[in-house]
Amino acid sequence: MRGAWPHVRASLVALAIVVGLIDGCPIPPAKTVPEGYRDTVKSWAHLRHDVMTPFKPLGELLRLRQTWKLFPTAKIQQHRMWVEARKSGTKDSWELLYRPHDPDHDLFADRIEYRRLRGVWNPGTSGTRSGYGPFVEWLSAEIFSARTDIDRVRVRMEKIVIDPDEGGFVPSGSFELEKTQGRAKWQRQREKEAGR
Amino acid sequence: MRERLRALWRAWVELFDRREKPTVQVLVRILIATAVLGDLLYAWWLDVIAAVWAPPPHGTGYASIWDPNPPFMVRWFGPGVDTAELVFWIAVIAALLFLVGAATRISAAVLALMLAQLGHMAPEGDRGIDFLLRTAVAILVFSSCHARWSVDAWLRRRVFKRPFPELVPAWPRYLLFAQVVWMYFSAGHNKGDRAWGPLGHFRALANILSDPHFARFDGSWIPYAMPFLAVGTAITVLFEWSSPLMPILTWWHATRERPGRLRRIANRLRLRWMWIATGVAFHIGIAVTMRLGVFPWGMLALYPVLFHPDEIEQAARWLRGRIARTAAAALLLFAACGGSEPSAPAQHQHDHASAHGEHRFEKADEWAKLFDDPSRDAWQKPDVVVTLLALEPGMTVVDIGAGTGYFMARLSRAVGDKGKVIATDIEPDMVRYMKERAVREKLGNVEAILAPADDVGVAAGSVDRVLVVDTWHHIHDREQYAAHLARALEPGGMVAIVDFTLESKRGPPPDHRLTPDTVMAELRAGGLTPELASESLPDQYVVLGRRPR
Repeated sequence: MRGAWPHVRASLVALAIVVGLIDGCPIPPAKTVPEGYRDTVKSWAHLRHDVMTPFKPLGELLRLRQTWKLFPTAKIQQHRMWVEARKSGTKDSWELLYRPHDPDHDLFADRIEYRRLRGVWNPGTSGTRSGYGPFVEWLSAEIFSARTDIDRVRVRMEKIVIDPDEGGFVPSGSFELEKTQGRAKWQRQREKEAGR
Repeated sequence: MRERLRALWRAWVELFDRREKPTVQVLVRILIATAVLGDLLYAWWLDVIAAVWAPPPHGTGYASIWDPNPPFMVRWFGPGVDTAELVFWIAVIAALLFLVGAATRISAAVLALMLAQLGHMAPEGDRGIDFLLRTAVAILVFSSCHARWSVDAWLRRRVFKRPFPELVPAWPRYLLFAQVVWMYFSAGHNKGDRAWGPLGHFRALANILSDPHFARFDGSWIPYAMPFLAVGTAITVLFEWSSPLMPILTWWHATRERPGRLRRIANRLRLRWMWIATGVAFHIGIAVTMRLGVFPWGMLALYPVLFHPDEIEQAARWLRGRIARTAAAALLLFAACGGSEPSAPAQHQHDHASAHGEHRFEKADEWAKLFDDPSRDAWQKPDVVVTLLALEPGMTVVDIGAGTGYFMARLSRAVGDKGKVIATDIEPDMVRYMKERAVREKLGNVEAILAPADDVGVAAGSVDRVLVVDTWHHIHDREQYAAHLARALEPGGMVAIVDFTLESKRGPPPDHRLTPDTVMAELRAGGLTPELASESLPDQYVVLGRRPR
């Protein structure tokens, strides 16, 4: 057995490396390549899918992948999150509670900026992520618990343009990806949970 | 072609059959466990366990309820805060056990599984560094990363009396090395934005550092640093794209005695060190200027895999020396400033080895006074050593690290006129001295040659016996050297390694000495069958290693 084991092990290592390379091989999305290359790209993607199928259960069990990205884009169009709250009885008077790099408005800053939470709310290149809604729901609950005078929480993204020459970014003054949450809904949810 | 493929496969098998000291794998286990544990406990300290992993409305871990195929812990225990906390705390306990090396393989497997479960629950909170650390933990499951500095090692040594071997399989380190290299290369070729290249004026780092969601400081300093950030961007891209060169640079560094212009230039320019230093600077720069959590520390936790265990140990020795010298200097300064008298001034400064553990043996005539001192016979027992070699007339014997040729005459007599003695050394002046000595002493069957530090320097299967006296502890990659020895020997051939015991009053400093067990393990790793000679010398042991027939 000792005689065969080094060969078996070397084969397994080679297989792991080859599978990893196939998994991480950069195949661009078909829609991003010129028309003439789309079929080729699609066939590569199909081939990779077929080759990877036997290894998929292990990859999913341990959630492994070999495509690594580290700031693949460094675009100048970015966002800055605003977390605002409205006091009970007021109509359009929103109080700013949190905004990145704003020491005067840093409620729950440590928690909001924890890397895993930021991964949920920081918009990607194609807009918000699936966890953005649940994030607003969670954050609103935290704010309603901490501040009884607040009846509505609003989270939105200010469009900014990165301008390092000017020392950071230039706010555009316009917002998008807005979500709001009311205290009434939160209370109903709590009562429902308490009744269970 | 077929022969070439076979040779390649043999080399591949041999590569992953290598053994080495567990130092690096142990260090990586501790560093990765610390990074993972620190990151998890930071989430607990911030009170965001539910926020990150519990399903809505309690948190952002939406996959527990929205994914049609939820993670198995959610299937078993149901979606909710309790399940998220259960998985989290199992992961914390597993990380703690992994850190201290208790039931290491099981704790590593559980840790990898639980981290994956957490990742499944909150896919968007599962960042690249989480994937990387999880992969590393999964590889370490199969390693001997618990062979030292662990509860497991302590139990095996003290309770079960079956300590871990001195040398462990090196392949997990090689795989981690490959993973690091691929990670950087993949990150490099996924950088599609113009800002990373000349068309975007290398503004990527400046842009990223101006993004308020990631930057640690406001951007007021950035306009002054624009040229440096542009250079930093270019270096980052170059660093990532050049990562596939790291295995080659490492190989060239390990075989620096071999010929080759590119090898010589790469080693002279210290390209390997430059690449590693760039990576370290890159991650420290990220840690200082950006809020990316555990990312830079998790990456740095993997950096030891880029080094051979001997390099790590040498660095540790150097560091200990620096600390000791600094402490001694501080004590002296304290005493000079009127403090209490230092209790014992450091009178005995060993200067046996350089920072690389290598002697220089220039000026052979000077060394001859020491090496050929007649009093050496009393403790070296050269006749006993030669007898142990079981030499027969007509045999070819190599004396590795022969120095001034102390054994030459005895070996020459033992193999007779039809035999041959090849006396090797890595120091040209020693070889010059031995050649002159062979002529002077009329030893016609002796050939003195200059050999590389990492190889025997003779053809494969060309010798019957090899003698290595007071030299083995100087060799850098001994397992690999043992494999070279095995290749040089004929089937059935034998090597005798003579080196100093740990208790000996003479010889190298204690931390340079090797136990016979270590030497035997190294020979075994090289494919030889070792045995400790029953005949021991006053200050030394003799380990014999045979090449199987």
